[in-house]
Amino acid sequence: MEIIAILLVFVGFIAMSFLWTTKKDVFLESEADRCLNGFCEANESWNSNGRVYTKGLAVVEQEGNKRFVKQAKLCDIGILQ
Amino acid sequence: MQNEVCKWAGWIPTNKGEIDFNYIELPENIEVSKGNFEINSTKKEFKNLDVSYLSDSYGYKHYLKYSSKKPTESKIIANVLFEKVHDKIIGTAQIEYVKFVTIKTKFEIEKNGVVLFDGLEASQSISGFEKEIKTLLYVLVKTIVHGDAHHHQKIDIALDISDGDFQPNVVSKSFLNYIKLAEKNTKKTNNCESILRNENIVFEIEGYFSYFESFCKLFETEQTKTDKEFAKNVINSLKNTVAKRKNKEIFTSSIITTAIAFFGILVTVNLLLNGFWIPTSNELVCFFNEQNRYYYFLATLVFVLLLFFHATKCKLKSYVYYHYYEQFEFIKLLKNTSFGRLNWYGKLIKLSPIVLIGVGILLMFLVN
Repeated sequence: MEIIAILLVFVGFIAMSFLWTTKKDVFLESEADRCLNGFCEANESWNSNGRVYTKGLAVVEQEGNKRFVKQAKLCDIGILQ
Repeated sequence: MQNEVCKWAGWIPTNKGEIDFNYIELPENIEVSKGNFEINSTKKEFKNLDVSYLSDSYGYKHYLKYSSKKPTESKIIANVLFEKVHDKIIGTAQIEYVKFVTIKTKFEIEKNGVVLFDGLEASQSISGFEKEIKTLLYVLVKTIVHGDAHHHQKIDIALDISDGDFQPNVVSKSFLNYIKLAEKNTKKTNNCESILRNENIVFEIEGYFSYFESFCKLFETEQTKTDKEFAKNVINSLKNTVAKRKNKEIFTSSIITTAIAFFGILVTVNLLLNGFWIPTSNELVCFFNEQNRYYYFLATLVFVLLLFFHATKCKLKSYVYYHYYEQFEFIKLLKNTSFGRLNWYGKLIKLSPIVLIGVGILLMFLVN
């Protein structure tokens, strides 16, 4: 039982390293917010900052209205730190 | 029905130097149901393809559906037809954002990979989004003809389209730009989760460059030749950066391995020698009864797990990045979002490691 407990704590800390960070990255924070809370919308002020992005186009329905959303998302090379 | 009179062009990558009608097929991630395709020696038609991956937020649909405002995203359906006419392939491509708009175009693919689109028919106004729609239609056709669907990676995002006639210099410049971006981003990424990625990027870029070379052979201009030479320089710079890092890593790991081996051998040899020489009077051996030996084992287990925590974390992250990229991407965004900005589903995922640690600690107290 103790072994299971130790392994649970170990796996917990590994999972924590995937999901929590002590270093605040302003750039990635804004990118995460843009994608998780805003459909990765790339508005007029959006800039790639020399990172590698994909470009997409979605149609989103919010409060009964449908509209096109121009998108940009960090891709496999751009997302790493 | 709105009919835009417009033409645009792009290039479908081929390292063979010519597009082969026989190679046209759906990539693995696009499925077509029975009765929705017709394939023979001169015609290939695919209907009702789910191409929702053309949206960048498609991968987060499970997360977004738990948002309080409940925004929904339209599914994207495509119909594509290819017909072989002499040396060319002609066809039509249609994208439908379900219950919103249907967009249709005609295209012609030349033997050398040049694809020319003609006209944009839409069931309602697409004003302000023409460029994105043209790119999506190009990506759709290119994906099926070229045979890969890495929409989120590499070639798909790299090759630009040009309005009007085909312009080799536009494609050549986008090849060079992408190689430069890959090099720049690789130089900036230097932590443990990117080790595998950074080593493989050299091979990926070399594969990518082989298409660039084929392109330059097909469309040789002063500009494409110059771009290719610059691309070679950038790739050399990338190779040197990766090789230099690898040497440094090998040296660092050899120091760590030596230190671990030194202490490991010191401890084990001392335990063995003390135990065998004077077994009865050896305090270490006599001190550990069966119960204590179990605790000694637990203590060493904790020590070893702590010692290998960093290495396990790095290898696991690299592995998840390579084999489960979509999940890695989602987790990465969760990691960088403040707790308060997440919906309840995101909060639940973010809290899961704390729950695991809590359960582990609780178990320890319960058994003692």
